Amino acid sequence: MTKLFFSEFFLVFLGGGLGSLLRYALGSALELSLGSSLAVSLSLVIVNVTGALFLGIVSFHPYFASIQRKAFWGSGVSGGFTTMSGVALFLYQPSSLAITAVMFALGFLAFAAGVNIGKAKAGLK
Amino acid sequence: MSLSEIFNPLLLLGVFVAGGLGSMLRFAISKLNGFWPWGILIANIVGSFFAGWAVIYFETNLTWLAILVVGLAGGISTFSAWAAGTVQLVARDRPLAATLYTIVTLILSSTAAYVGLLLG
Repeated sequence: MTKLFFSEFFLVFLGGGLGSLLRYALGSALELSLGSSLAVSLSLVIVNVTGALFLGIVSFHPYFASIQRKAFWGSGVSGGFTTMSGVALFLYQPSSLAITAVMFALGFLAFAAGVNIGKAKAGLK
Repeated sequence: MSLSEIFNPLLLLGVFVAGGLGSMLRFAISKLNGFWPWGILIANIVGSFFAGWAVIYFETNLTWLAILVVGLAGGISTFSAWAAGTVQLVARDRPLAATLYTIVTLILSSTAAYVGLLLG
């Protein structure tokens, strides 16, 4: 049990590092090509909505059934890829409230859609 | 920042390690889960506070900004787990709790970031 606990933590570390790195790369690439203000809102929406969709899939898809895969891909990659601190800072920029509201609505729907995809694969639907 | 500065290998390693550590912290706190996903709420508040603080404290240092704000704070905080918690609350016929959880997450995270900005 202790061993499993620690391996789970290590997998979350690796996945979270990878997810954060991907978010950084995407944000930086968008900033270089689009300029700062558009890049911040666009990268936030992209990472958070796709990350929520992915976590929904991870939650029920049979491929991610094991504790290890859930730790790496769920809490790790999907958790590290998405961000709330970025949203919190973004809220202090002009006209961010409408974009944030849309992002939350899309994130909710994306997770639910991911759950449906995962459940369909698992034969639960 | 130029392309070579942004994708400097050491900086990428820093973002990876910081994001990994932040995610481990979030994973540890996320075990707190009851009426609401308390652990995730706390992780999002802590991450937002830290992001606000670091944005000011390391204002001129783009390397530390990437490692601490994008990596550590971004790793601690999460959006996907908010979505998961909210969808699960709605699925359990608790739409009011889901709405409140969302509003509280937004208000407390942005307030925490603001306090961080003031203290940084």
